[in-house]
Amino acid sequence: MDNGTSNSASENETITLKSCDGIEFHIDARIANRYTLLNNWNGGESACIPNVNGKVLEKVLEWCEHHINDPQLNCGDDDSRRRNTIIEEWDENFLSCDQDMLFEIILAANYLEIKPLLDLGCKTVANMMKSKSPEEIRSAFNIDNDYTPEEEEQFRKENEWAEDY
Amino acid sequence: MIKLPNECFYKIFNNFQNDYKSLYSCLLVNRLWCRIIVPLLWSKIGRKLESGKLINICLLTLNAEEQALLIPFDILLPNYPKPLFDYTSYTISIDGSLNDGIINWLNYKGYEKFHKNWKDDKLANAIKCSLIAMFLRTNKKLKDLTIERITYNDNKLFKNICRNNTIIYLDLYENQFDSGETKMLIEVIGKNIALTSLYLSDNHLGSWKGEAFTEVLCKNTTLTTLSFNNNYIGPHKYYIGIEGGKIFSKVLYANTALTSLGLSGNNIGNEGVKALAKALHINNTLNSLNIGENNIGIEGGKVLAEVLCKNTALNYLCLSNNNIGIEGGKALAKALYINNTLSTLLLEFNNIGIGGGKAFAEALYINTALTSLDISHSGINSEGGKALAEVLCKNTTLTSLSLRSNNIGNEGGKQFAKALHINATLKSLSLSYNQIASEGIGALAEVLHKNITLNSLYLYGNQISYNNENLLKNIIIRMHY
Repeated sequence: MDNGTSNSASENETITLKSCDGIEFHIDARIANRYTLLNNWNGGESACIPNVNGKVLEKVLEWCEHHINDPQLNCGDDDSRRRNTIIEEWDENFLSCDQDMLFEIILAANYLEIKPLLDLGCKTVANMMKSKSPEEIRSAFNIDNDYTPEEEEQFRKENEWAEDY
Repeated sequence: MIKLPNECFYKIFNNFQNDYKSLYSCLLVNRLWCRIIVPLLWSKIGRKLESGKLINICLLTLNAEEQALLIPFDILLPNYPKPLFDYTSYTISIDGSLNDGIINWLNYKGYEKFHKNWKDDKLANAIKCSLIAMFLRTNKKLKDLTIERITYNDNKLFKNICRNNTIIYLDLYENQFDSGETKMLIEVIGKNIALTSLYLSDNHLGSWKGEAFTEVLCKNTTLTTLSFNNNYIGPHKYYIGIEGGKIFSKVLYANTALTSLGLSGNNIGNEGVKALAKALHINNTLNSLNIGENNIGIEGGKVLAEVLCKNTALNYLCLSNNNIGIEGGKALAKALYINNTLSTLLLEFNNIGIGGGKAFAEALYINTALTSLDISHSGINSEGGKALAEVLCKNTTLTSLSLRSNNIGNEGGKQFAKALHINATLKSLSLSYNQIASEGIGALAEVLHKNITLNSLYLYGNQISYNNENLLKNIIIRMHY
C-alpha cells in the first residue's frame, strides 16, 4: 500500500451499496474506508443511498476506484491543491461528460463528502466559465437572467473596476 | 442548469483566486451568483485600491460626517444611487495602494489643478482620512491596515484606528503623529490584544514619553513584530538615539512575545547598542533584529559578537551601514565559530576590509548554520574575495552570498568560477560592480553550464563584452548583468 493511505481493509474485502433507484454496487472496502460516509450505507439489502441514482453512483465509484491509491490530503493542503489549476488527463476525460452529469457528480460528491472529487468538479466548472462574458456564461449553462435592466446596469457600474484585473 | 447548493458555487468561484475579471463576469450572471460573489470579490480589494474606479464606489459609501471632511475642498463627489450592497463591509485588507487610488481618482475626475507633490496635498490627505474612517465604520472584518503618509486632521479617526479590535497587522508608515496621537498610540500598545504586527517606521513621534512607552511594551504579550525604523522624537526632530537603545533594552529584558524588532536608522550609537546587547544575553524569544544605520562602530560590532556567542534565539541580524570596521568584522566572524543559530547576517557598508573578509572566510569553514551573508561595499578586495571563493569549496550551508562592489577584480572572479565547479549549495551569488573583466566573466559563464544549483548570478556593472554575451546564451535566465 502506498504511504499516505491508512486503509486497514484488505484488498479482497468488498461492501455493498445501493443507489436510490435500487441498483447494487459491490465495491472495494478500502474505498469506503477513505470516504467514511459511504460506510453508512454498507450492506445494501435494507439501506440505500438517498438522492444518488445508479447512473451517477456508478460514475462516482468509478472515480473513487481509479484514485484508490492517491495519497490522502490533510486539511492544511487544501489551499495549495486548490491553487493548482492543472487537472490530470484521466480526470479531464472522466469529467468531459454532459453538463447535467457533471453537476450530478458535484452534487453527489458534496452529499457523500468525497472532497477531492468535489474540488475537481468545481475546478472543471470554473474552467468552463473562465474569461467568458456574463451572456456567454448564461447561455453555456442555460441560466436565466433575473436582473432588471436598471439593476444589472448598477451592478455593472459598481463592480466594473474588477474588469481591469 | 441543475440546482447546486450555495456552498458548491462558493467552491467553484473560489477557483478564481486572482482572476477578478472572471469573478466580475460571474457576478453579472444573475442575482444568486451576485450574492455569493460580492463578499468574495470585495474581501480582496486590498491590493486593487489603486483603481480610481474602485475608489469612486468607495466614496459613495461615505456618510455625512465623512463627507464633511471634504467640504472645504469643494470637490464633486460621485452621486450615483446608494450602492446595492454594503460592499466595503467585506474588505479584510487595505494597503498602501490606497494612496495611488486616490491620485488616480482625482485624475480620472479631471482635477488638474491638483498638487503635483501629492504627499503634501491636503485634498488627497482629506480623502484618505474620510475613506479610512468609512472603512472602519462599515467594516467588522478588517485584518490588515496600512496607512502611509497621513496627517490626521481630527483625533476621532486615530481613536477609531486605535480602538479597532479586528486588525492584527497595522502599518502606520510616515504618519505625522502629534502629541495627542503619540499618547494614544502608547495606549493602543497597552490595551489592544488583537494586534500582532505594528509598523511605525519613518515617524516623528511628537511628544515622546519614553517611560510610558517602555512600560506598555514590557507588558505587552500579543505583539510579535514591531518595526520602529527611522524615528525621531521631540519638536526638533532628534533621533531616538541612545535613549531609544536603552528603552528597547528594557523592553527586551521584560517582553517575551516579540520575535521581530526593527530599529534601523535611529542613531542609537555604541552606547545604545551596548544596552541592547545586555538584554540580548537574557532574551530568548527575539529571532529577528535590524539595527542597520545606527552608527554602532567597532565597539558595537564587538558587543554584538559577544551576544552571538551566547544567544541561541536570533536567526536574522542586520547590521548594515554601521562603521563596524575591520576589528568589528573580525569579532563577528569569530562569533560564528560558536554560534549555531544565526542563519542571516547582513553587513553591507561596514568597511570590514580585507581582514574582515578573510575572517569570514575562515569562519565559514567551521560554521554550519549561516545560510545568507551580505558583505557588499566592504572593501574586501581580491584577497578577501579569493579567501571567500576558496571556502565555498568546503562550506555546504551557505545558499546566498552577496559581495557587490568589493573590487575583487578579474582574479577574484576567476577564483569564484573555480569554486563553483565544486560547490553545490549556493543558490544566489552577487558579484556586481567588482571590476571583473571579460576573462573572469567568461570563466563564470562557463561554470554555469556545469553548476546547476546556482540559480542567480548577479554581474551588473562589470565589463561584459559582446563575446561574453554569446557565451551567456543558454544560461541567460540565471545570469543577471
